[in-house]
Amino acid sequence: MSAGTVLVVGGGPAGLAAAAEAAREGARVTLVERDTVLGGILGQCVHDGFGIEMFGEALTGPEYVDRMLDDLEGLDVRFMVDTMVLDLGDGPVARIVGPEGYEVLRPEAVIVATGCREKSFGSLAVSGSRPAGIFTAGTAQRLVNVEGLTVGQRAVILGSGDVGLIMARRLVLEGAQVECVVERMPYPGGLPRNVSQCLNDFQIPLLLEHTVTQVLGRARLEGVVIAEVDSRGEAVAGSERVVACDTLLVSVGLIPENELLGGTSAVLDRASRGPVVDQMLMTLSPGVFSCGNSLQVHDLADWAGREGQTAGRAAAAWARGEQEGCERVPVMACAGLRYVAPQVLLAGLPATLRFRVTEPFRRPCVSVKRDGMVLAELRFDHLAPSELASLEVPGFEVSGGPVEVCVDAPAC
Amino acid sequence: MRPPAEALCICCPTGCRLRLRREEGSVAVEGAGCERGREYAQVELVTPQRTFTGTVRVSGGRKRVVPVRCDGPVPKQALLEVARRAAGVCIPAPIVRGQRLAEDVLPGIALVATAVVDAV
Repeated sequence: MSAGTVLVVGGGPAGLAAAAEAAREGARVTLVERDTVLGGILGQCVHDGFGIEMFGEALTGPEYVDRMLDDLEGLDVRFMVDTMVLDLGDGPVARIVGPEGYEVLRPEAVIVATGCREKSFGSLAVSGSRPAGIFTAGTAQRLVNVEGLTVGQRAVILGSGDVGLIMARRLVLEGAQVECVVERMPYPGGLPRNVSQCLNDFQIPLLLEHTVTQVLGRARLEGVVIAEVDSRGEAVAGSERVVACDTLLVSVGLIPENELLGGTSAVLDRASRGPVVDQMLMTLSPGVFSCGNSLQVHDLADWAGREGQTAGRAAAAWARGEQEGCERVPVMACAGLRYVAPQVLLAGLPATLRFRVTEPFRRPCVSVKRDGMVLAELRFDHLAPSELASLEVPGFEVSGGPVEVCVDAPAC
Repeated sequence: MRPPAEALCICCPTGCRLRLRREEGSVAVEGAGCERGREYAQVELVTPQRTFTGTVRVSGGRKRVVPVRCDGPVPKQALLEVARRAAGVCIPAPIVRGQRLAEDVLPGIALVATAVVDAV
């Protein structure tokens, strides 16, 4: 069997890991990255905490990228930076353009590792004018950590996801005053250790069950109106107060970036916002694989990297011509689960299921069943929507109904 | 026996909730999921430490700032002071990873580059 060609789209933690693994499996790999440097979002993440799972060390974003590039040393990977994939089609086929010109590529497999984008302020329908001084947290992170700019002197942060928490600390260390972090849910959206070392360490108040209802100012932000929210998420009348500020950072959600899959027969899962995949991470377009934040939003770069490795191995096998004709079984996510990925299982092969719950659970039991038989079961100490969790499922025999994944509390 | 203090371990994303009790000169730790957490608890109760990361200005480089870290743990209370000192630093490019950019931002603690910046 001859080695096949694999195209990786995206040079962030998932794409780099996928390229390394595919190359180690003997594929001829091309990695296309639209930025002028490799590393993806990690280039702007100057804080540490990356690599604990992958390398056993707490590294900063740039240091993690460096390790991944060391890993790629000597492997047969052609890097094309400053190069954009214009579109993908079934085949697969990719049309790209960059400093070397326009090219049509027909690799045996494509791995889409295009990461995710931030939910914008515009989608929140907050009333007021649109003054300067309102940024998504990731944009502010790029401006401060890469462009070396100051975004403002006095900030409010809307949303307690990790990017917002990390930027709260960053702004304080850059000399700004951070008034508060406003979170509409009754629990924080980011990791507990980020609440601790980004907010508690600097006595920044975390206002749970609050939201921003209005922004004030015309040319430049002058303040925001904050209100309590009730259990339906509606602002409580009479609870409004004004917080003076010149900067609002918005950290209210990440959306997997899957524009490129639109030209293929891949289908997106509305709940995960990534493509429907099997446990080999192949989409419904044969030879098109997905991994990292574009498949599902990850909490840790390390996990995006692990997923990239799975996709890299699988894509290399596909490119070699090892194309399984297994029975495909749908996976149903029951009440309490926002989504489960993969959404399809190939019978006879083991799988790693990843999922998020819709609300916090204490001591929940997550079970995977088929036709009344339990295939796998795991009790967790706690689960929250902000934590991507996983569960291993052994291969099961053919012939039967769909696989159901359920969460029950109290314990099973 | 003093009542237990609570701390959240920041060593890894799990975030174990630690309960600490000072007993006859030593600290008893409950709730730690691993040895790193137990070690973290011992230090956290007495002299809380953190990792400092940030950026410093670059002159004559392809980028305006370079990401940095301190080459040792920093007392929690000194984070802002280290940040203020980092704000006064400007280093000429080229800069290599691991390069020492400023000595003694705190006694014995240096600022070290975590990325490369090429000269223009």
